[in-house]
Amino acid sequence: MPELRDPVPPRVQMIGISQTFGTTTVLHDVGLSIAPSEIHALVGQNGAGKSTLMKILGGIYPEHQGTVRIDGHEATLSSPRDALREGIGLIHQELSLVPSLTVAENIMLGIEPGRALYGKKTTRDAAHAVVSQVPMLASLPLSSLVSELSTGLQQRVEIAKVLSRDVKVLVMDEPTARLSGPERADLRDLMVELARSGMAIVYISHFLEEIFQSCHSATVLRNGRVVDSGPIEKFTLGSMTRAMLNEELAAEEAAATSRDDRRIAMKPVIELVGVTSARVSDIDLVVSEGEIVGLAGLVGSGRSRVARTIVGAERLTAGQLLVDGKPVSIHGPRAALARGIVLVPEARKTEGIIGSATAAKNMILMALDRGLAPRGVIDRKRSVAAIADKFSGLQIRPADPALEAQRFSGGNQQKLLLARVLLARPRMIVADQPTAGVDVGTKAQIHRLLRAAGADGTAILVASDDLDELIALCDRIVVMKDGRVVGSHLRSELTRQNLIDLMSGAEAIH
Amino acid sequence: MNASVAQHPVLRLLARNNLWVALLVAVIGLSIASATFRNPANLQNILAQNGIIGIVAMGMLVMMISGGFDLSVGAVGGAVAVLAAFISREVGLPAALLAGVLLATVTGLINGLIIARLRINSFIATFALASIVTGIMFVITQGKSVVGKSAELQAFAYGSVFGVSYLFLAFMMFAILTHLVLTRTKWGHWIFSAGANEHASYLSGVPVVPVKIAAFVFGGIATALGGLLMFGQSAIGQPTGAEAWPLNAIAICVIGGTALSGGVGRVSNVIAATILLGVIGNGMNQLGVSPYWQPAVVGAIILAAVIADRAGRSRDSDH
Repeated sequence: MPELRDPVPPRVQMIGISQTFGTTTVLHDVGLSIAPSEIHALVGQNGAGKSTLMKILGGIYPEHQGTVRIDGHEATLSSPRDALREGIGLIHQELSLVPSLTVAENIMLGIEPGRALYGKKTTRDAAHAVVSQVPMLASLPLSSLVSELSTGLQQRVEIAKVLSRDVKVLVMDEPTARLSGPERADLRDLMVELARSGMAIVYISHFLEEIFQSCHSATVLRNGRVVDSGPIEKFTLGSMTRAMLNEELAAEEAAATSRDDRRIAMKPVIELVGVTSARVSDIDLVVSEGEIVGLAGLVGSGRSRVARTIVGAERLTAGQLLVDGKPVSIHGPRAALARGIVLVPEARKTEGIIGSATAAKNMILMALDRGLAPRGVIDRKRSVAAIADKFSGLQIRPADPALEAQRFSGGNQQKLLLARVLLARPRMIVADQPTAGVDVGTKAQIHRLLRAAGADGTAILVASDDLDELIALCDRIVVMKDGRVVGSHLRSELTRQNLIDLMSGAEAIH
Repeated sequence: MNASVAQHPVLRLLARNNLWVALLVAVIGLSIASATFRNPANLQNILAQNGIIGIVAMGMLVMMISGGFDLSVGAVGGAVAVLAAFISREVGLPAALLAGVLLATVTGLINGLIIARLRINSFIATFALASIVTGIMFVITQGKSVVGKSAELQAFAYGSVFGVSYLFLAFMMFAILTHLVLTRTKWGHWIFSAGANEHASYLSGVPVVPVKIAAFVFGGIATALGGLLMFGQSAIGQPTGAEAWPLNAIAICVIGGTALSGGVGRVSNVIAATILLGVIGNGMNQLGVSPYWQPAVVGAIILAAVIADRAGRSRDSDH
């Protein structure tokens, strides 16, 4: 913890910030103050106003009310260019790199050295000068194409890109949503290192535990207002969650985490016997009617592969898949759909949502084959009713089925995907990271939906990075390591710590 | 922020149908400027002359929504006309119609298979097929036109009811059919989703490859109708009669707001774009504009439409 002394003006200070779009006010008189070397968390549900506040800081919304001071002087933030000139750098949730350029070229994009001529070598040298200042960035492969890098490394390129612009205030929007466990720890170290040099960091995350690990202070937003703010010691996990949420959902999540093992009628919907496919081998797995099974494991342990194999998106090279006790071959997601086995994919944007199609079209995509389009003609009356039902049932905002899916927030897109699988009247839902990058409120809602589907007899398989989620949601958790199943345990046998031990292979449970 | 203005239902309706507004403005303007333009016979003529390219554009629309496009509609349209002419003379008109439809359906199927199954870019695939079809046709016909027998088809092509030509009515019927297929059927739905995000569609259980092939078969059927009606107009199958179709049909679709990247397109806008281009071409003739200038004007319209579309889009997402 740095000492925060008074005479030094805050690195960044936002005073009385309000923002209206048309007739809706999304921020009411919000204040925020961050000292040099401070890592400050900004938390709140989707739509609470976090992103809007940060976009004001980034010069994207010049028509706001209120003032922003940087190191005590008033800053004009009327364009992203202005913001960069004031020393404010934003790293967006969706990385904005050019995949076909090298790392060095991406770092120096827009501020390439030299007057008119472009030199690969001078660019590389300039990029090198930037990354060599920070030990954790020094190992970036400057000549590699960005498209060849892992998400974690790509994020470091984004950070290097910001550093090359002499940034004093760094905003990171959901930086860990797509990172694996070790990558997250690295990012944490990197933030500490950057803060030590005097940078003020705004950290937006839905992983509250990370906030307690990394941040010095926090501000909680709800419906565009600051509901709580102060040093991190002032908060607990529970108090922060309650500040963000409405009471009802908070209580339901708390109750679910402490419930006992449910009795499940063991009527298997799907069985994997010695299944081997790309990078997973000899997988045995059973999911019964009404059962929620979790798949735990580190990134690269093969969880997603198993999920994709079940819906036929990966080819079986050995082993047997049984549906309702009968051996079947599922040679593609379409064949899986015919059997009522549906996937909520991990990569929402590229594999899930059809961005330019309306929310309504996205929702009924699977149901078309599951009774909504008899003889190929869409049953308009029923589809309109089903869409309206899901919009209100899942509280999708904005409540406009005719809006393009890409215009919805991440959490609401995820709800659209869940609506898609639920409308397909599934026998089994395979959900890969169903709550990645969504806020606690949406997360609680998604959990409630999955539990409800389970209660109706749907078999559910959830792969997740979030161990608390698995423990809160699942009846049984199957642990994977290096492409193999290393254990299967009832929830009551597990704690967070022994799950971690199992995943990393430290020891087995006795 | 002028969000409240854009929210007004009338303005929104106008913005959504801006091509129809443009068409209305063009018709009114040209009617004031030129007496020959506003002559009802001339207006009827415009509709009649643009029926065939309109039908071809409907096929192109479906293929573009699926994420591709077809440069072979000109070659195939010509081949349909030549084949139909030959068979109408040797066997009879019904067989000629059937053969024409069959030919274009098969070429559509081939295009679709190459593009969806072998994952070849549609520019390359359809350009190659166009060359092959043109080449074969020239070898067989020695580059000459083929005279056919098509009294009934000719009667249709020049017939009209209440002053509206059958050709235009055929275009309207086909447009309505296209609209229904795209908006009311499962496969239509899939054409949009596969064009917009192929991978997500695949993982959702959409039969992406068959859907794309179907889009090209539909395009083939549209081309067949166009080729047969073209043959009907003159009773002659001319190998190069449809040369201008591919780029004209793509231009119409693009003016109509259809995305080259797939997933976006509306039948009503393509109808408006078809008539708009016809009206402007005809209007320029009536005003005595040199034919040499006309391609430049059409090009300017394409650019203006695309830029307006882009501007509208970024305004929409700017919040």
